[in-house]
Amino acid sequence: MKPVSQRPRSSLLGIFLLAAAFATLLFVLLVPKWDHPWDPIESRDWGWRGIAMNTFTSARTRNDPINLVPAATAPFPDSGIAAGEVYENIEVLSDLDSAQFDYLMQAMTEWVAPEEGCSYCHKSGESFASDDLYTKQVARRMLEMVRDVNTNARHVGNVGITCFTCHRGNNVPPKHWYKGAPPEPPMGGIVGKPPPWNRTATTMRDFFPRAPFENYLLDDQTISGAQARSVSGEVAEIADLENIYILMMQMSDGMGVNCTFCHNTRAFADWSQSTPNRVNAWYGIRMSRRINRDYLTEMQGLFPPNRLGPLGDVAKVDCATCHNGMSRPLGGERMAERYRGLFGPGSAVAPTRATAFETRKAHQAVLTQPGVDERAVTLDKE
Amino acid sequence: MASFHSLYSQIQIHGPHDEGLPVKGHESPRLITPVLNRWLGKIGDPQIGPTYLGFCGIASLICGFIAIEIIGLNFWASVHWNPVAFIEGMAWHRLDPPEAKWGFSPFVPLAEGGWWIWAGFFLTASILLWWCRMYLRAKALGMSTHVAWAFASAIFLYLSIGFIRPMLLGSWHEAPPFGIIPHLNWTASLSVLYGNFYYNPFHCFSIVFLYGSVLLFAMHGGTILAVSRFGGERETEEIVDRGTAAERGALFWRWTIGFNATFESVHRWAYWFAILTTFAGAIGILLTGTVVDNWYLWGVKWGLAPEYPATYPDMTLPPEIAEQVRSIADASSHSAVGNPPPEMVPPAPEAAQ
Repeated sequence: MKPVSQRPRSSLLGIFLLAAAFATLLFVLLVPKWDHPWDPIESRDWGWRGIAMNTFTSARTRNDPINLVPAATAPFPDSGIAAGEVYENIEVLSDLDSAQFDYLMQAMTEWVAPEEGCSYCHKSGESFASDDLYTKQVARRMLEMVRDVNTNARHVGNVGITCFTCHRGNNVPPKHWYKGAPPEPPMGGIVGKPPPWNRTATTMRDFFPRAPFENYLLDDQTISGAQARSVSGEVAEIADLENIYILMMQMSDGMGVNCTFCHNTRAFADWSQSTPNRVNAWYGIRMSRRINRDYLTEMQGLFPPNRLGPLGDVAKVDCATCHNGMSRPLGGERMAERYRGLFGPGSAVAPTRATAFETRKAHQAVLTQPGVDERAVTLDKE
Repeated sequence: MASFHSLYSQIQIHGPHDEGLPVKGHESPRLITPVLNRWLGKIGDPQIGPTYLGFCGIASLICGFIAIEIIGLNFWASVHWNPVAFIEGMAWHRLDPPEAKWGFSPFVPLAEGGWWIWAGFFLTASILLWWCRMYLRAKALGMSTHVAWAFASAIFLYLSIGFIRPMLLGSWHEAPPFGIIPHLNWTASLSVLYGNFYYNPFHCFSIVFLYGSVLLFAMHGGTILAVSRFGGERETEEIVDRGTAAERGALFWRWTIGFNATFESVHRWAYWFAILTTFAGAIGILLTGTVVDNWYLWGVKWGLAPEYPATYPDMTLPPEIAEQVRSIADASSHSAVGNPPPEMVPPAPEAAQ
């Protein structure tokens, strides 16, 4: 062996290691989206002191362009004539005042097809009464859905929904889901199951398997048994458990909240320690199921193939579709009340739900216990 | 002071290789001609090798290789041998244990969990053979076998999770899958399923010993570095011939916390804290689902989980949930041992309609 002084210093390896460490550091700093220290996560405590029933929010979500409330146009004075008398082929809104009908149509255009305009549903050059375009038939059914939800769904309280709640100025609501491709066992099944995740996904949201959505937001599977025997009386299969876990994470991500928004995490299953938000979420799951089954799946035949998923199913909703990262869609903005046509017959003034949780001015929100909501629960019933 | 082998010395000896002690008994050859590496010398001994494999080492590596092949090829096959998908999904690939319907049977079709059993078998064989190697090499050098027994404690936890507990419960399905994210999901799900591991006292002990190990390591490492200017890094010499380094280190702790471990006993502290971390964890795992179904309710029963005033006393439950809560409360107030006393049962909300 040569004396040390004659050997080259073995610094190449060192330089390489330092460069690799530096590259890793750069990657970790630059590639993921970080929460900036100057844009902090807000933490608010809702439960008994010291039990960490906190909810975390961030101004970044509230100020995300997708969550900004569009400016409302000035309301139209009533004309005194029903829409059904003025226009032909009105099925849903025939009793509505014709001026309010126009007002709603104008808003719907802005909500769903701001670029295409009226001709997105009404074929240009033809009568408004024509049902030629599938979009018009879908829009009609969607109106019925919105009126049903606003009138009957306990989940939306007195805030109500509009087309904009989901669509946000797009033809198809930005957050939706399709059924996943059927599992195709590799090598004739010798080596077990294919991965359930979606490799072509561009977001983590789309990456996860669809089974949780299919089981719980489309089919009737009950979310239960996630806690051992003596609490729920039954135990879920661990595979179901993972689906429940994924659904819960999707809910939590869709609403921009953490587990303790609804649950006391020391005993997830225990209703007596949960918050009223869990009750609301329970109704929300049933509402999503109703929407997916009674409205969207039923309309499947209306849609052209390019609007359908890989398995030919219609786009469906989950929590994120309306919520878009906020615990109350659009910060609880009551957009619907300006449009009478969005409420079905029999919709009285809804009782106020006082969960002023996430408002535009989060720090000024009043901590109030939610009032008891006495409304009839029809849409929530299975 | 500040001479050869002091912690303060930056000198690296790059001379003839140290082949190590000759030891008696028949042996496989030592492998790898030693090489010296300057950068390695900055964090340890600059010399790499020689190493020793012997029967146990070679068998262990072969078993480990087979286990990783089974797992890796299953991962790869699951994406239809697409190399890009294989790399992309590395964190998400999974190899699941057999479903519950197979019970604890060793004869499960490969595609339905048989591969998992084989991978587990070879991985376990590999680990146990590696343990034998630790034990035998220590013996060959005339050392005691402390390291092997510390390793055994970790192996006990591994076996408890993947083999002993599934055996006690009669189902492979209770064991975790192979895969990075999947086994983490399993961990979270299992904790929730069995009523929250935070109320598992052996989980608590395990954490105490884990954090305790970290604290002890920091205290011991800090103390030795701090007295190395007095020759304190020669710990073993100071154990038998207490010098000023040991005196100062001891007095420092008597001054600051009133008590000191000795240069000898601090190593026993650290050793047992480390061993008990995994041992307590294993006991906690073995009790879960066998003796205790729901650690939260166990915590309620024994006063570990206090009751807090209801924040939302007027909360109205959905009717069918209220019915469910009431029936569970009724059922558990009638049933026998293992359930919390009636007053601890979550009350059925009065407001439920």
